[in-house]
Amino acid sequence: MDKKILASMLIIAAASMLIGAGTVAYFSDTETSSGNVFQAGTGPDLKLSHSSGGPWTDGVTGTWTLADMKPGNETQTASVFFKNFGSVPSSTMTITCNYTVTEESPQTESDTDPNTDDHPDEMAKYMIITMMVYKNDWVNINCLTGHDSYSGQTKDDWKINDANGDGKISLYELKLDPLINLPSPDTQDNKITQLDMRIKFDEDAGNDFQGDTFDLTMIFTLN
Amino acid sequence: MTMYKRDKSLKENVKNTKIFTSIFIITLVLSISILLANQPMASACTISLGKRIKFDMELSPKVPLFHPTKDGYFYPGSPKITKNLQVKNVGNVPFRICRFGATFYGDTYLATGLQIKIVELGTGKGEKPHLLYRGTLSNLSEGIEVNGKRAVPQRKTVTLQITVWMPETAGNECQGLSMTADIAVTVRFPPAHDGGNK
Repeated sequence: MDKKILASMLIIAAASMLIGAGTVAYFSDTETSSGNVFQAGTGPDLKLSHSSGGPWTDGVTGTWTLADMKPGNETQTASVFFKNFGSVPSSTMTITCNYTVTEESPQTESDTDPNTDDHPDEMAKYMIITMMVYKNDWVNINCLTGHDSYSGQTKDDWKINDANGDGKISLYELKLDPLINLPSPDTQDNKITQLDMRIKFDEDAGNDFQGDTFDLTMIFTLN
Repeated sequence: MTMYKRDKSLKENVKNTKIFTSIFIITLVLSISILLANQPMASACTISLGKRIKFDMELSPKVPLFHPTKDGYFYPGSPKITKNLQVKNVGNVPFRICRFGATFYGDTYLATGLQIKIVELGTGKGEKPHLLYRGTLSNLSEGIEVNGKRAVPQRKTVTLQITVWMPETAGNECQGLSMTADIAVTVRFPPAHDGGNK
């Protein structure tokens, strides 16, 4: 009888011990740091204009025009202004171009290549960039030489390579070798960057391009 | 002969009873010890010898830690923003940090694009910070159990260093988003478990 009682008590005690071991209770207190605001920036958001005062849009048209152009004709110096409207600064600017050629209709008899629209690069090779300067308050980069006259630095990234070695830089070569790592326009109101450029229709251009329309798209990318 | 057998049986009974009694007492003492250790009220009353427990903490600063006017905007690879949050023991019993949580308002998707690291700073010279949590900010919405390094005695403070950043791999989907976060810190008493390295 005594053994049974003791055994029962032992089991109860052991059970109590197990329950006690499994019951983990804590007091807890929670406090909060409230109202923390996290905001992701927007941008880069590049806008262009024909004037340093705006209006700023996603694209501009008709910057460089040459109507009824003949070999040896050259555009006026025209400028595109850049501004980053994003809330975060960009690091660099890339400049390249693309183009199309539209054949006249009806075909001109003297146009010796009625299919220039199929290979616009051939005409682009005769569209010579005679002046191209990327500048703001801190840089003044001649993109034909890669030289920044303000800092005295010269960089290959800032220069269009003369791929065929003829001493002329064409739009075809700009497309082949984009300008990269140019200092980016900043987000501040008073920081505006511009590109000045002049284009000449090469004197050596032959009859292949008579009556053709060359449509140039300059592409500016903020990185 | 019969007397001898009866005497032997009686001795065995007494011996068994003593063994059972010893085992019972040991078990009972162990049970009571474990129960007391896990019952804060009981143990605290014992420890504080009748003094009323005040289990309380405060966070400092009371103003929001993060704001774009002070910190700038987050963007992929933007500089990490680090702030300190002090957890002060204003009660009379020690505690330990055990949990973080967060509630988000606004463009809550932004929380998936932000990373957060919370470390408990050391107090002594050369004492290394103890990493409590590192991961996506959004994970805090479900609450994260952590093991604070040290038990914080009354009137003492432990500093949490909170770093938030947007990794370079974050995409455009977070662009322009804005959200508000309430970051909650929970402490526990008793601070039994030592989760840190001393």
